Amino acid sequence: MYSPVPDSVAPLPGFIVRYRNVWVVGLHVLLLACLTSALYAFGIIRYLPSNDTLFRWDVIWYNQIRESGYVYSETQMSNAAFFPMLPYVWRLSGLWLLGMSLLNASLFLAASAWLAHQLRLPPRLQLLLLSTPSLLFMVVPYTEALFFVFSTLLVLGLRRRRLWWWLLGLLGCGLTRSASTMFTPALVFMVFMWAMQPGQRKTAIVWGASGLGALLLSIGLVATTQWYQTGEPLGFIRAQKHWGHTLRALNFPFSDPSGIDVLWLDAQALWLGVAAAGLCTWLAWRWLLQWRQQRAFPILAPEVIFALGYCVGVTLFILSYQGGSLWNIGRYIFATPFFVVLVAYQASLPAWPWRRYLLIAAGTMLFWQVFGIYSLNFDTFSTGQAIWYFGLVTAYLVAYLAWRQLRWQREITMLLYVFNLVMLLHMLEGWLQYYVVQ
Amino acid sequence: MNPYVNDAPAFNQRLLRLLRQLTSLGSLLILLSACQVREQERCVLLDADFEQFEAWGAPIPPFLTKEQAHSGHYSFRLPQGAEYGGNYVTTLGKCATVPRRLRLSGWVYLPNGRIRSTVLVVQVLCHGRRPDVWEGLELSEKVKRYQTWESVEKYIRLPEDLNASDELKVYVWHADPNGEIILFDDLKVEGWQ
Repeated sequence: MYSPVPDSVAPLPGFIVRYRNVWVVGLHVLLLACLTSALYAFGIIRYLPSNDTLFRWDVIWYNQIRESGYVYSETQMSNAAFFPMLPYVWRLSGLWLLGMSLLNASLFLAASAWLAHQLRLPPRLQLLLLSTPSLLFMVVPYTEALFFVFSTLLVLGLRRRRLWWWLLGLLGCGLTRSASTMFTPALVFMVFMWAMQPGQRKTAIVWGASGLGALLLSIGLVATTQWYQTGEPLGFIRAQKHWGHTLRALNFPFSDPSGIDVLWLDAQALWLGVAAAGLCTWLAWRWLLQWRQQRAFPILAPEVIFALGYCVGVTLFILSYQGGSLWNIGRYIFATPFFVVLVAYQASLPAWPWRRYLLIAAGTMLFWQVFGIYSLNFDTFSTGQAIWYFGLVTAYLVAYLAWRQLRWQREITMLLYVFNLVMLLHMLEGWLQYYVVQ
Repeated sequence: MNPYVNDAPAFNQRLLRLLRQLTSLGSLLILLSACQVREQERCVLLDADFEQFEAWGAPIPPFLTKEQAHSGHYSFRLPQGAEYGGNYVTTLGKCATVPRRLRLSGWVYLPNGRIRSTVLVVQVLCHGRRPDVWEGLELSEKVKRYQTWESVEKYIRLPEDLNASDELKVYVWHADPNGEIILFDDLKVEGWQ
């Protein structure tokens, strides 16, 4: 179990201390409202979510399912590629675009307050995580909010050892989006690691087997719904090819159809996925050593292992099915409680020597060559400009990694918080204008 | 005081060492880039400011417009709904030696971000002798300021086995023709070894 170091705060009334994570969410909503209204009044942002601006991208498909159910086509794009939870919750709610967006935002805020409370997040870190730019998808009729709610349930189920939370969370995620693709390998990996911990073998196997059962049930429910409505039970798999989701070789340099204002997030999500893959490989190696030589095995909380496995799963999926095009990876990783769990875990570790951060930064700068920054493949940017762009991305990333030991932590947190919110509003404004922001 | 922060003198020493290393690295990079920048003989395969047609008195081609121009009066216009635009073709033999590298540059004017995927394509047609070369500059990924002229460029490495008779083709591919009208001006393709 881990518990991040709490901020040093002056004594506060008991009810504020007890529910401080709820108050932090309230403060965040207030600050976001202040910033949004100011930027809108000054004309710096010109579009806000409304019934006129929210009918964009996948919302059109979700609305089609909400209004008239599933349709499957063998030859062109069809709504069978989407999962039923969001459109049916939307239908049951009786809300229209703005109402559903507000419902999504409320669900996300409630789940995030609960998660922060359970993880005992320091208020400053909680505020920073609430400003993550990819959270723009929580205020549109997308699946991110429901996925966050159910993922929170499964994460907290693992943390509190509540089997029903875990199973309900997996089932809900599996009905919200194609989560089982990413969850199954993460779950199997977690069970192997968990079972190696002293006295945990039986628990790990029971949780693993029942978890797989919940994922299978979710797939069965989606298949049955689609079979009943379209006659094609595997529409949610077969329709993927019309979205270009087919197994393909990697194309270097990597690119991002969402463009340079989203690329920095997607690049960091890729970095996190690769780092998680490295950690999982190391864990697997230690697992083998423990199995063969009875060497001590590092104890990690199951929810942390699952979160690592999820990030690896998303990264492998994006790289295998999008061939070097990185769009969506940012929202799949950052707009989830798994990112919160990993940041909270990192914040709970003992301080690292600064030399380690320098090595990470140097390695990261080399890693950005996947975008061709040193070989003039980062179009329209000279090598110097590309190094500057990715240098800033690296500084941002290191600030998160070293957050727990920053000398000017309060100042840097507020700087990142405001920057994140401005980027969130900028990207949201682009999305509302039908620009490519995914 | 933050218990995680290392003691200041040791940290300062390390910082100084880091700064020295960074300075050395910076100098090396500057040296390397200076070597790289040294101008080699470049040939121009395309240089279009779209101003030449007016003086000939012939009808102005429909793909030109006076709506906006980066230089002069005319620019190239990709109309709304068009999937392809322009089709400039020349041979690599236009250069004294077959180039190994190309630099595509130009100015683009986007009305807004709803242009969808719009690619400035450079293709080398090898007529079956070897696979064609296809490289694209995706404008929607790089241009984030609208209703103003923005500079774009792309560097392309060519395979060694091209010859002078291979054809260079430059055109615009609007993969999702539901996007908006886009303007181009001062397009240039340079080649060198």
